[in-house]
Amino acid sequence: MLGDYFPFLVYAFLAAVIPASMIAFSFIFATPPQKRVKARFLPFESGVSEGAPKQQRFTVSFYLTAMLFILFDIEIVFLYPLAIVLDALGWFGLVEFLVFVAILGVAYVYIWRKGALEWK
Amino acid sequence: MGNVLVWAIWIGAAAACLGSGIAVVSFANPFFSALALIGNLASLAVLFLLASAEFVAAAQVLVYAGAVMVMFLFVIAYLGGRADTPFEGGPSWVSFGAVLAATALLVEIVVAIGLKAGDLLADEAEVGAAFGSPAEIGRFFLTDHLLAFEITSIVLLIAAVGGVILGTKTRAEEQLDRLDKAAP
Amino acid sequence: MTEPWWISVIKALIIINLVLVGFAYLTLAERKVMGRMQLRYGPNRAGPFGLLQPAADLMKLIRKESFFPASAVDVLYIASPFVAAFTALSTFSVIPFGPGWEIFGYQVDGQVVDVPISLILIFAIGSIGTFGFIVAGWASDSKFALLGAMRTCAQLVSYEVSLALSVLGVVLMAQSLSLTEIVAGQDGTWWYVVPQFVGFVVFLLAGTAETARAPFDLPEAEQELVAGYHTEYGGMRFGLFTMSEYINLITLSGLAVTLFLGGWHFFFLDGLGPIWFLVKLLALLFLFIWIRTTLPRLRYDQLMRFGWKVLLPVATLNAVVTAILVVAL
Repeated sequence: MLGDYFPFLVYAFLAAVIPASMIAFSFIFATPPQKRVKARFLPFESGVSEGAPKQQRFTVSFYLTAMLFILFDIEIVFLYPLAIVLDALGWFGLVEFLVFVAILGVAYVYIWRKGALEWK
Repeated sequence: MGNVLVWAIWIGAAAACLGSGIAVVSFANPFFSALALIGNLASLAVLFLLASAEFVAAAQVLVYAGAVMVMFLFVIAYLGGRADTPFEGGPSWVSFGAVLAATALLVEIVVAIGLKAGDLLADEAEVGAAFGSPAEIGRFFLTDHLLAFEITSIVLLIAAVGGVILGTKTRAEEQLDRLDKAAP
Repeated sequence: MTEPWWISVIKALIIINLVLVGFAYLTLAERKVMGRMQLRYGPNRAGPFGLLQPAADLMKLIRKESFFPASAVDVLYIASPFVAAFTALSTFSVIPFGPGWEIFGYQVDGQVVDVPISLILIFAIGSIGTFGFIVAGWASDSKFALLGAMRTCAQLVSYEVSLALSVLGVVLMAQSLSLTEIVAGQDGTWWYVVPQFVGFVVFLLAGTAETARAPFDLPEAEQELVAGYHTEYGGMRFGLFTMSEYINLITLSGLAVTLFLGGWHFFFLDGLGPIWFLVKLLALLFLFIWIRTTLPRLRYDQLMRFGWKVLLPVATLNAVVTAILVVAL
């Protein structure tokens, strides 16, 4: 079984070497700047600077999105192996599948009604 | 040739696993710790793969490295600059004792497994063709481990409720916000 | 008969270079097609019909100054375009493009990697690619880059759910996560695009958002974010981000062909496997370019609402209905 992954190892090695060499080229063939001006190295800014961005906080909507993503990602990871054997297991499997999805449907309706899907 | 390659990957992944694990606890900046944790989870996935649990390896990357770590990074960004307060205390007798106790426990486990297993460990593990395949896992979900599977969906429901309660404002807070906006 | 290991190595080398050439000419084709659709010529100076434009772009990008923003975290700043390009490049390996052949008595498979979990492997590696973007934004320490990275990441995770759920119908019908078996399941019968039309549409929409293309190109909404997470990048490092975007698009189109459009099969002349695969792939890529020139960009709250309130329930319903039909029939 592990032999199946050998071509992937080779391919992933190539997929790593090519971008790595491109990054190396970006050092080797780079044109040196004619004049070093300090302002060139400041982060791009437009309008009034509000200080270092790492100090600023982000809206909680990002956290909520990631939280919901975890939920549905776990659901998907559970449903994929199920989907393969569903036909073989017949009605019994289908009922279990539907119960699983229905409980998550309740969670989804709750999330929706609480307004967590609105971007603020 | 194939066996040497497997050993080389195993040693590499195990070393990466240990190294990134140490890195997680030793970085002062939470962002770097989170990145080291991603490395840790990815190398764990490689170890799963080498143990023929290919679906578990993929699921590990998809859920832990892909989803949970994204939330970690979002929380770090949400906390902003307040998150990096470096650890103040140095090594103490308590931490020394903890390390000692953990080492003793580890040695005990290794000895216990060694005694219990005896020469069983000398035999190679027999891994069937279907072992670790998604179909086999799906069959177990719907037959032998049905209850655990259904309870998972309830756990997810509770997680949704908890996440929403933590992440959204209560009605009183929304009212305050509206008042803030109305007042000049 | 299994393939000898050295054939795998040669094939990996050929396919990855084909993907890179495909990427180079996809950028040219996109600019040409967009130019024609907007009643202009598009690039036509470098070589006949502008055919040397990708080479000229490559030379230009490589010659750019090696630049680090003042307060960037240098190691991560350099590592993140690498991660983005690596994850994009390595996923194409599982896409089957032909039936497999016997050449001089050696077996040559019609795909580089054939594993039982190839479909979920693409999603797993793709989810690692998200970190290339978010780390880029964080490491360059610029507010546009950081905001762009956060937005990109939130968009990618929101649509990944719908993308994975839209495929569930196909998995239910094919009863396998292996892409070669999914292609085999469409041989001599209806392609899955017919019974799974809803899944196909959801897949294309979510895929457009996953590859951050118009009308879902919020990550680089230049009016709001300058250039999003790669604001502080230049030269070949910027080029690697662009490369990862285009190669993700190629892989996604290849995946759509494999899952819904019968892979390398066709109604007649089935022996021309890779040709049919290429034709379908190009058709889908043209569709993506066409969509880009046609539709205006969404607002961010509209984008999130569409992903969570429209695509997700539709994809889930599609999966449930398919499950019932698969068991009942």
